[in-house]
Amino acid sequence: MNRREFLKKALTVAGISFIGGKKVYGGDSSNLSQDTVKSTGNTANRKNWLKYEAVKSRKLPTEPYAVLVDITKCIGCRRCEWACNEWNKNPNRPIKEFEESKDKAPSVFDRIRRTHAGQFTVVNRFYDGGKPVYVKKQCMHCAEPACLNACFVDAFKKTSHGAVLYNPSLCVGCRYCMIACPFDVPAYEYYDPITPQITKCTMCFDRITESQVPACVEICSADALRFGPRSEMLKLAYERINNNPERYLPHVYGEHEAGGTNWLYISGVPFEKLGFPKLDKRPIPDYSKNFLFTVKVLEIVAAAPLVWGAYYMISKNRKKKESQDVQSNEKQ
Amino acid sequence: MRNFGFIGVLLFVAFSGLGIYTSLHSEPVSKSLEAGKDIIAIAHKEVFGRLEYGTVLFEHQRHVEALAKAFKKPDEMLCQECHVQDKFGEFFFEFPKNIDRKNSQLLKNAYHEQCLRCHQKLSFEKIKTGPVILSCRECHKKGNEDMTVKYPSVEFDFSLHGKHVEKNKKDCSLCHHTYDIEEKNKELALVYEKGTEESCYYCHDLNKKRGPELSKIVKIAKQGNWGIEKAFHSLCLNCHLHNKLESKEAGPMQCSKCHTGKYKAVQELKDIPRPERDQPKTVFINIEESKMKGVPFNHEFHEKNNKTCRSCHHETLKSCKECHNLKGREEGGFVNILTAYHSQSSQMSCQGCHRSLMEKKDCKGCHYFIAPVKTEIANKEVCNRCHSGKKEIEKFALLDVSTQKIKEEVTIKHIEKDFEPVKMPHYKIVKKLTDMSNQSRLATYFHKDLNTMCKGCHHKSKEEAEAKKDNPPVCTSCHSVSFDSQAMGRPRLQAAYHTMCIKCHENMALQKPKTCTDCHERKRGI
Repeated sequence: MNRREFLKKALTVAGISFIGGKKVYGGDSSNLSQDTVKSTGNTANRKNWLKYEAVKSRKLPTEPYAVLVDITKCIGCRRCEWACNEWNKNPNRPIKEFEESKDKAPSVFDRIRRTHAGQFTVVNRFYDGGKPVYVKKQCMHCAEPACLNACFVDAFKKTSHGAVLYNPSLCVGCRYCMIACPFDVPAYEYYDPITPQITKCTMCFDRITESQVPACVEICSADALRFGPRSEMLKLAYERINNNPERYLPHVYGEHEAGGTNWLYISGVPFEKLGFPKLDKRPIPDYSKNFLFTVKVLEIVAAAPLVWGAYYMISKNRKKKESQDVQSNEKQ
Repeated sequence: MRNFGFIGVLLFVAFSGLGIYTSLHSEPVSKSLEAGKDIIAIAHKEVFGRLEYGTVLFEHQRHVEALAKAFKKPDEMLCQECHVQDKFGEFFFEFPKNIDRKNSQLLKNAYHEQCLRCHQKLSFEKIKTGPVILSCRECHKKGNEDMTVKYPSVEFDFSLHGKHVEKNKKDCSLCHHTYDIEEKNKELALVYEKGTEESCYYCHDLNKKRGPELSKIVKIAKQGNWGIEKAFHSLCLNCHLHNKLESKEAGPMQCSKCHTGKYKAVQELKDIPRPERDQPKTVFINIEESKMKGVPFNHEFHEKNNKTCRSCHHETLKSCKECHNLKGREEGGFVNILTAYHSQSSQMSCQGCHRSLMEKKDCKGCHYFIAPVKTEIANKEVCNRCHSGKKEIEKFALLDVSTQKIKEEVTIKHIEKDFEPVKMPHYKIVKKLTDMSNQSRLATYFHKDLNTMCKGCHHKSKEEAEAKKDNPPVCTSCHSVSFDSQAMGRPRLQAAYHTMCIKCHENMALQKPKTCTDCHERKRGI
């Protein structure tokens, strides 16, 4: 074996182990979170956008809806993940596998996950003094979404129901929204070369407009999720906090964070220990609104003169060069 | 090939550089030593700030043994070699002798001089000893730079107290004293007065905020730096030393013999007699001009169920009324008597302490769900549990579950799609809970009949319509199987069961169930 051959083989081995030999040699793929899904066939975002187009003319709610998540109640059964996949027609596995992950070792919970293409919500496990604490993660549906503000083709829409929706037909795939989002929510279909889209939770817009509750809320078997008008959810949150001061921290996450969100959390463990970003009351778009507006104005007003100026300079240069060439030719 | 070698060298240099860099910039780890050899860490960071040469670990016991061998004296005759005595022959167990310990330069020099002088003296006499010249790293060892030595605090509990009382034939003056503020001559200010024996912590705990009276004394204790550590070491060790010199039976004199880190639980101290200070067995707490009837209070029972008197008597052993009155006064930190007894957040108030007892795992199963009664919105029935107005303490009957007609077993079968029906041992649960309740005196006070116990799970039994019925409501009377759009605020039946059962089992730290199938078997074929 000469050196070239050796290197080739070594690199192949390293490469396979790096990508994950399981995938290459067809291993056990029951571990959902690490499945690089070949195609999610995600239609949920598009469907919800069409739904939005359809209900625009209807009577809109006067107050946005919200979901209240009570972290102290969650038992980590992951049924919400199953229900979400089921309703949004994302790749799914039998519900039994989701329920079992809590008691399994190794478990899906062993690492902190984030949402990715074809999975709008994940439940993570943290430990507080040896006790497991389960935290559901999904789009927070901000009152003033950072993703919407970062998008320069207006592919996002904040509806009066509270949901933030995404329109794949406008999207150019720049993924600014992924960077703008403080909660790391929007995910991207990297494997799709032609028509990739951003995917994210839609707050089950197609359900709440038909007077149903979101799929995850409906299936929750521990009463950890509640759905209703935002003011009522806040009232409920504070009622619980006031009635059980030793069980909860006096803080509703999402009431003021980043200008308020439509998913609210109450917990007995400090939020910074549960992977929530520490945010102040200022909405994220506030930081960039004025600048982005100026950019837009410049685009419209200054684009034409700039293009013309550039053209002018180039042609002038060319003329100069030509005349120089002519002169040098004459000298010769 | 040469090319490859060059790159290899480069890589090697880069990585080794990285390695060295990270080793230089890694965070120092502060280790804590096992207390066993009576090791004392000399650092004085409060005086020196950042240490130039790091901590010195001083092995006290080894020095005592070495000196005993050198001077051919027993251990107890050696203290004066390093420690200073006052004119009464009492030792101050500190080193170096006779210097201003606040001055860093003086302190450093004193250590170097006094340690080395002794080492040199011994080495002249050809006796094996420690470093004799200033060679820094022989004492300031490289590995010990961030070492800290923490001895677990000593609990002078009632059993130890009892032993001392017995041995000293009830002469309290050997340890207890008070400070006479009026006395001009400071040497005579420490006096013993019978009937004023209190906890050492009242005056010698320099970190606690105290009331106006006590603060004056604590201030003086602060001036002499008489914190808890110094006070105990002076008092205990000097006495142990004297006993030993008089060849009487004496207490320990080595660090690790007292600082064992083992603490007795309340349960172990139950049968030990409490210190006698003419405290009453029962008290009738009755505040003049108050709206409520008086409360009979079993003082003896509370003595037996607490580790120290300080658990309630936080500043003095006088009764609460001495400092707290209806309006609140300066002596009581402007805390009125109502708050002193009912504060929910304090560990010294009746209600605060009782409420924290609900956090015990036996109680928390139910009391996790039942919001405790707030004083502001309490009802007559609850207040009268304590405010009976009778002078003698009531005995409450224990709950009896044998005669009641309680369902033996409940079958839950709304989950038949995926799971087999659940058989819940209803009677067993009730029996276990009532047995636990019967064991606790506090619980028998408030769980006055079996219906109270039912409320742990059947939480809506209090509603008027339900209260009229014989049986508490079952879950299905309110919680429907699917989502009820009429009552969004009400959990579905499955959620109701899971919330109640799982949280209760969690809070009572029960071993089962751990998994779904511990309660309901999966249907075969699914």
